[in-house]
Amino acid sequence: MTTGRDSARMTGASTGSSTAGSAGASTQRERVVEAAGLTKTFSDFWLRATARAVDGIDFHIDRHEIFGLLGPNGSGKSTTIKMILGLLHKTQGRLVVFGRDPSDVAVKRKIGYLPEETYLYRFLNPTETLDYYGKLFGLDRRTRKRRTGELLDMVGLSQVAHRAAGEFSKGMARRLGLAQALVNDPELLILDEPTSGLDPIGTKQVKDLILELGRRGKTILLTSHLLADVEDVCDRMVILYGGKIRAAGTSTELLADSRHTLIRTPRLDEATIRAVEEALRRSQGVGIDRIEAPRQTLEQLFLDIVEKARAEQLATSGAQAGGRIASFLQGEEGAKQDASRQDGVAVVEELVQSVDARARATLAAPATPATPKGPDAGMLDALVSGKPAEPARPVASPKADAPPVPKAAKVDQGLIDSLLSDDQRKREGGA
Amino acid sequence: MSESASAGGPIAALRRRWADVVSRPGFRISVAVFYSLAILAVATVVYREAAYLDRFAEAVPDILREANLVAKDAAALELTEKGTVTFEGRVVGSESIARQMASLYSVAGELERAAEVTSLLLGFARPEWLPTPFADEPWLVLGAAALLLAIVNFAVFSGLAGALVGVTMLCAAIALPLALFGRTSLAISLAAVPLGLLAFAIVIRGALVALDWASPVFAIACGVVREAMRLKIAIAFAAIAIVAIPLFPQWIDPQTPLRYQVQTFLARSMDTMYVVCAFLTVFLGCATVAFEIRDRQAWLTLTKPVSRFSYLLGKWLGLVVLNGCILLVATLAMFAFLVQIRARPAQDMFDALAVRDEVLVARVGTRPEYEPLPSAELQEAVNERLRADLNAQADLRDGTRTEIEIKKQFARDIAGDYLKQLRSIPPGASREYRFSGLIPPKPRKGARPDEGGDGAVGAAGGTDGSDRVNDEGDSDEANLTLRYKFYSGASDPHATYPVVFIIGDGDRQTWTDRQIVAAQSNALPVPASTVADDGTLVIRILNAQVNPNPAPGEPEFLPGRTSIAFDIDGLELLHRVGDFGPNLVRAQCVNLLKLSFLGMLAVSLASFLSFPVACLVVFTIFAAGSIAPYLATSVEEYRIRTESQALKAFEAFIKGIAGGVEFSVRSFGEASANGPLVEGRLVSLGLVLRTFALIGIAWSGVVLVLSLVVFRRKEIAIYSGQGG
Repeated sequence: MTTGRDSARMTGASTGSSTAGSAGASTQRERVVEAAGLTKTFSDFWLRATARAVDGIDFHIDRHEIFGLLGPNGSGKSTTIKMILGLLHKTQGRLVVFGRDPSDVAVKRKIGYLPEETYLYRFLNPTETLDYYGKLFGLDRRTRKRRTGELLDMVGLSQVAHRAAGEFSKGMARRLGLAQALVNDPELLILDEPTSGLDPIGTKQVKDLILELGRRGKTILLTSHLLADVEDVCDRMVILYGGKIRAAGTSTELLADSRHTLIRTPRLDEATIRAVEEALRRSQGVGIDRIEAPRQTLEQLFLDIVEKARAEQLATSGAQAGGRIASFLQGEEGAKQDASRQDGVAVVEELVQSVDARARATLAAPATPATPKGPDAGMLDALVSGKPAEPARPVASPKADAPPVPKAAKVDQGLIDSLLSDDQRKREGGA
Repeated sequence: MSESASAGGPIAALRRRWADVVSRPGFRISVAVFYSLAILAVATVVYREAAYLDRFAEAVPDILREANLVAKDAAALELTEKGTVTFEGRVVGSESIARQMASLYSVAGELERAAEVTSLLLGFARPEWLPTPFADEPWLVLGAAALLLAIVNFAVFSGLAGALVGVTMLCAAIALPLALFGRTSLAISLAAVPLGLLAFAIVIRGALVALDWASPVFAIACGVVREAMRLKIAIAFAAIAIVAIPLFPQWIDPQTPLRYQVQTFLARSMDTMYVVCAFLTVFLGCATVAFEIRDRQAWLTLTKPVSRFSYLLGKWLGLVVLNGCILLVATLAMFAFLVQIRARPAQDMFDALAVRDEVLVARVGTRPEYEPLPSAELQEAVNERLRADLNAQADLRDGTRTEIEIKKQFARDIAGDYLKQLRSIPPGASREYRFSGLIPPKPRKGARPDEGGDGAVGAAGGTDGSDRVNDEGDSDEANLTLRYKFYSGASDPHATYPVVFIIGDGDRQTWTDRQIVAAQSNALPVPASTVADDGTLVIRILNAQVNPNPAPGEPEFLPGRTSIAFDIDGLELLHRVGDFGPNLVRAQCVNLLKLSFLGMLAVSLASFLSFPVACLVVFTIFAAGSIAPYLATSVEEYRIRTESQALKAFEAFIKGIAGGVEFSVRSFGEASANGPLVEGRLVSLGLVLRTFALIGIAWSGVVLVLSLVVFRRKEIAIYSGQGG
């Protein structure tokens, strides 16, 4: 069974990311974050150790991967992230980010960070907030303005761009926090509990965004204790508990149940089910553990209801639905994919135009009139043979048939659709 | 329509409608055009009037000099018969001065003191509504109009068009009814309040534009300014200064001497500005850092490419800019109302002259030069004392002290006694004191007679029995001030002692006699005309009184009862070296530098202390610095009268701590500009530069470096786990 991340990757591969993927595979992946024996012990004023939040963990994050740091509350996830960001100093071990010490200011130019709670300036509105953080990165005014607009559209806060952040709901603040994490088009995006405080729609949008950013080449480190939220998006993950790593690996490695096989079919009647079971018993010697009618998830029901309400254009004073991904969030692979996509579209356009041209040429050609038939051959035969002619059958005058119109060649819409923006399709499919 | 749009009632709907209207480009353009035309119209009227006065001042002296009364020239006749002059079709003057004008003509029919007469006539020509600076320099009108146009248009197109219109209507609603009832002064004061707040908003917008750079330091500074504007408490502090100043004139008794009214207004305004800014700096400076770290907004900032140094520097810069904006607006308001107060009637001419020459001026105090005891005489006196002092000889024999040490001490004592003697005047005797380095003041253009700015023509120059020396076309009108504080006998506060001051030499000499109260500071205006061309002035002080009815053969002066003496700083001649305006600017620069240090202290301490602790420490240092001069005196005079060694040790301990604190903050207290400004003393550029170097750079730098050492090692994020 494929996961969302896998299907996104497969989709991406079909649109041309295979070039980037193969390029990435052919070279050793650069490590963005590397931790060895990383330990953090908190002390009180008298330097007595009070808590060991992180205890000798080893992990690394490769470029272009989505890495999950999972675990329950208090397992050391946020502490690890804060050490990566330089907000805390490690007690022991080694920690390197982009090949440098985390406290190096230059490293932070490549990082975007969304904390566990969004600590915004309450007196700034979203436009001012993003402008402020853009200035911290040294972005010029034009770039800041453009990115601010795109990011607010992306997170659905355009309508409240001039409302103070202090008036926002938690979800709206979270969206703004996400926007500020992306303002510098970071190479490494660190998301601490990114779906915290979001409704199911927002959660899905964030997950889609993470997938899309990952597809575009971003390296993403995310933490969560809501495991179901991140199951579909992470390439690799570690699971922490008590400051130690308890499990590590890809989602497939960690989650696959090798002891069972799941087959999904359209609805079957009882007889068919019995036949299948009988076949299994005969061939494999096993029976069927469970038969059940799948049902829609509550999340899907929720999404359907909201979509219906939006279609009826019911107003909301809060955040709007998110828009397309901001154009500046390209990344290397995204740029290549776009380039290949552009080439593909051009080819299809040419094909379509050539087919259309032939169709138009055919349409424009004058209709060849039907050759009128000569005298009745039977009558002529009768005259020659002396046999009485059969009563003349009325000769059906040939109809002035319309010249045959060749059907216009049908353009392969499926090919075009697959070459157009994946995100638009995802959005339509996801909403 | 969404639910929120219909909420709030009619007022909210009105606000939304107003917001909708003011946001339209058409509205902004209309407002800009309207105000620009209004400014141009007013400027045109003002400039025409100022230019007329300028031409009047240039041309009329020559007209009057050329008009001969004996030859019955029209101008001379008009002046002597009607007290007026007709210039460019306008009649200027008053019949009340006609008789006086007649007496100014010589037998040959020529007018003496044409320049002074012109000054007097200018006083009649200048309308009340024309500010003095514009009357003196017409080009200032054009400059002011251009500046006002720029400011108004900036305000309109930066989003304050609605506020501008609203404030205009509010000011009109406040001022017009009061003005109609004759309460013009109150109308101006109340209307100035919303105007001051609007000016503050405009200045802040300008500051935000100036700070709009793609740099962490400037971005953080912008954030501080925005935070101050949008947090109510910060606005409240700023509003106190900007609102209080226009209202101060209403609380100053107009019956007191004008000089004291002006000084009171100056003192209250300057102190209010400084204290308000100081409190705002401490609270906001500590809050903006401490609360950001506590509430974790600092996480989002410090995880960006922002060094800890940039973070603190940006916070500090924001505070400096905010203080600068408040000081700028409040100073402009103070200056405007100073002009208004100055226009109040003075009690007499001396009062008016005191305002001009002793308050709204920049003066430097010069002490008299004392001739030291000649070396030969000093040496002789030292040797004689050594021979006569048995204790000294005993010390020499014992080896307790060397001869050089003893002679040095004797030399100091003898020289000190000699100087004290020079500062002591026996009854009936006099001493001459020489002041040098004086600068004659610049001549001024005409002022209104009731201002007394220049004194009426022919009036005494400010001292009894004196007469001014005036040259044609070169009137010298700014007085000096002699400050003195004499002691006499038991210095009985209920007794008075006679003193005669003989000022100047030769034909510039003038004199006056006073009955002084001992141990009390007094001031004596000294005509600038008495200063010699080489910048020196000789004042002879006679310990005597004028003999009221001297019989033939009797002395003109009768000796005083006791000797009079004064301290080294008891005799000082204050002379003008500059104008009030630049002095005010320098004083505010000093204040801003001190506030900047306060800001650096607040921001730095808050980076590793909690908000209340940081506030407490900063306030303590601020208070200690402000009272440093008093602290120095207190430390010096602190004594525990006891024989107990423990208490003596305690005394030494307290003195050590207090002395150390006083030494540390002494410079902060000495860099005081408000007091000298109010006293009309010079706030020198040297003081500004010293304050900049010591307090602005050195002290602030040390504080920043020390705090960075701690802040860089500080872990911004706190532990939020479950322990174990």
